[in-house]
Amino acid sequence: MKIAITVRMLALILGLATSMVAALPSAPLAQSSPDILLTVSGDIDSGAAVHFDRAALEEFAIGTVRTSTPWTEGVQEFQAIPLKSLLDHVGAKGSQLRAVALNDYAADVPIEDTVAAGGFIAVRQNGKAISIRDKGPLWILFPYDTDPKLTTDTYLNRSVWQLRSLVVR
Amino acid sequence: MPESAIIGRFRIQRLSIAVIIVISTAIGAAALAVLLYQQLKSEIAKPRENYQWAAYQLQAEYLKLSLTAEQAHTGSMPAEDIDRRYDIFVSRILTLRHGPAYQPIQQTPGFETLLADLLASVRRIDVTLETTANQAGLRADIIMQELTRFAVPLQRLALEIVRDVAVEQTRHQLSLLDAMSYLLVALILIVGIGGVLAMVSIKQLSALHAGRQNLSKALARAEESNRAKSQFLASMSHEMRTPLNAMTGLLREIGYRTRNPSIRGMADSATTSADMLCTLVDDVIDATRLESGKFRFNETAFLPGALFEEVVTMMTSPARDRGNIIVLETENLIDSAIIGDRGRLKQILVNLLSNAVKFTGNGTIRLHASMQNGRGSAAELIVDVQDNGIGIPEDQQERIFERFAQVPGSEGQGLGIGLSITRALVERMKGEISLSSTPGDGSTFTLRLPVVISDVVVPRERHHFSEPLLRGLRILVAEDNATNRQVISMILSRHEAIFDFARNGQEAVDQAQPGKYDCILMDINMPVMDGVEAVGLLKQRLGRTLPPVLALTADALPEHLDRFLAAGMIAYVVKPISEPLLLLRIGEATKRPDIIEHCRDLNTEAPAHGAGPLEELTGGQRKALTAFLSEMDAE
Repeated sequence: MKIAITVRMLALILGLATSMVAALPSAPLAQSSPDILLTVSGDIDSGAAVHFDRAALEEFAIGTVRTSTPWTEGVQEFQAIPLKSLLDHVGAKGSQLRAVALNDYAADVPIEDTVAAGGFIAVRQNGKAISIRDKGPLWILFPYDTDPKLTTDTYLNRSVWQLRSLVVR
Repeated sequence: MPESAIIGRFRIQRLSIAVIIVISTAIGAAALAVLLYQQLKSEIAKPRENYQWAAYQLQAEYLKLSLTAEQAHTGSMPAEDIDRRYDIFVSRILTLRHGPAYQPIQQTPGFETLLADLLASVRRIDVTLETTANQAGLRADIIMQELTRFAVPLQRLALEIVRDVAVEQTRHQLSLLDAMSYLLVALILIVGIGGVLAMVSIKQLSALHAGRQNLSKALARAEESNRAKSQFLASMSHEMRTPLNAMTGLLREIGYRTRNPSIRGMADSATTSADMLCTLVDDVIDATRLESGKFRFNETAFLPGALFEEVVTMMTSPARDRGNIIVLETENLIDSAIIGDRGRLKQILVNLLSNAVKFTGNGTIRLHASMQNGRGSAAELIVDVQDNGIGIPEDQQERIFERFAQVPGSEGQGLGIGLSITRALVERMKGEISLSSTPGDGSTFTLRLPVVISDVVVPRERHHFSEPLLRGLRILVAEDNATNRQVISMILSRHEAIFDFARNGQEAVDQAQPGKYDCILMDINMPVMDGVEAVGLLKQRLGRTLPPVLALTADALPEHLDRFLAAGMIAYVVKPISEPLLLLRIGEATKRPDIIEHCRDLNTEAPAHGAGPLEELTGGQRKALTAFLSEMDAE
């Protein structure tokens, strides 16, 4: 069983490698405007997608969360947009979020559970804007120190970094 | 017995070993479970990324960067696009370097060098890009110039990480499998041995249960056997009463009739002996009745003084045989009667005196009786029986009141029943009996009985009648026992009655004609037809012309006496027949004031002789005896 997994994994990596080099067109990296950091679309009040630039997001970033994370060393201080207040603002009606990263990584995030667990979008880390190299500019995080369940795979998978867009479903 | 003990010990040893194995296995399993639990808990608490995924991502981002760089030359790609791809790739490298979740990857061989190399290239690219024009193709060239050489090492790293993770996971899974196997074996062991233990204890419990049942069966058998013995004793005693009654009557009669003083003396002695035998039989019967809970007192009014004299007279001869004299001292025994069971009190006194006589030789036995008046008609009768015999050691003083107990050295003297029945009787009378004794100096039994003083005037008993009282009275006597017939015949003929005998109830029924008799004396226990049935038939046949019927019975149980009255008899005379009482009852039955007048100064009490529990005839007694004997055989 173990060997099978390893073989499958290898096949996946090699397959990806070859197919990407040869065939795949690169995903469009650019936003419609370079200033737009986050696009929220899907089942929301306006119907059309809502775009946020840094200034707009900073306005929402009313909270401060201090927590350690599995990807950083020591306790970090984040300027945070509580996921709930952002979703309320756009009038999200669905139960699921599809969080998409700059590299097109996408994770499904159940809204109710994530809101209850205190999920937030980090805008600043230790007072500074977060660079792409440091998993910015936007990063879905949880207060990991408050509950051991938040460091299980389920919540780590929902912790999408380099967040680009949210699709409400 | 020793063999089974060894087997038992062996079993117990094996059981203990099994228990120890189970307990130690359980402890091991519990410890392992705790360990696994803590391991899982710490694994959850410690953030752990999917390493294979991370390795894949690094590789993928590298490929995407290469692809973007390739395209940078072909189209009109904005410089930001290639920069962003480059940044994303760098973020992957930094993640692996800083994230605590990636610690295991950081330990992969060659990783540290590769990472340092990569970061050095990144620094160089960054510096060059600072001064490079904002043109995608140009920037892509600078980036790929440094990074192209990492294609193979990055792929190798990915493969190594995948391999390491696989190895680690296999190791983890194997250790988990080991632990689970141990837990499984432990569980099977615990369940198996636990089951065996449970079976053993169930077996033992059922054995215990069976043992207990056997015990209770044995107990029931023992009790049954004991009951059969008591029954036998009671039956035997009951059987002895009838001939004894006859003997007493006849001996008295001999005493009355003889003019020879030496014969009278012998008759008196014989009467006394028979009386004592009666007391003994009564003891046995009472003991049985007390045991079976059917005991009842038969209370009458009587003169205590007369009773003491009677008892002393009775005991004088046996006392003399051992060179003892009995001295009677009374105090405040006024001439009024008390209410109580005269027969039982006599039995108690005879027992105490017999006991004193038995353990005293050439001594003096003092019977001291006094009455202390209480409130109203209540009084207390205090009796001391003092001897100067061998005495009783202190440690034996409580024991001698126990059934069949005998003072050491006195074995074989008496049944050991007298004092026990005495105490039982005294306690039933709500009195108390105590003993003070000094070995060598003698013993004193003290009896304290609460009594009620009767307002009935009971004159002293008179034994001799100067004239015949029943002259011309026609009497039918139904009595099966020849000796008893003889006794009755003597009394009736002395009083010049005209009488016929019937030998059973049937004969009595046949003989009784209207107006033929003035009175019928009816024995109860008779063959062919018993007294109760005969009276029933007579009542039917003669109706109003039936003369008064008096029951003659050795059975003095109050409930039985009530039965006789209910059957139609107007009164009863309990055997052994007391001449004055018989005359009085006949006088009352025939409504002859002259006879009653002559008997007026008679003691009206009825001798209280408890009958045995068997009211059945000889057949029933034989049955009890047979049961007893077969019980003996069975043992």
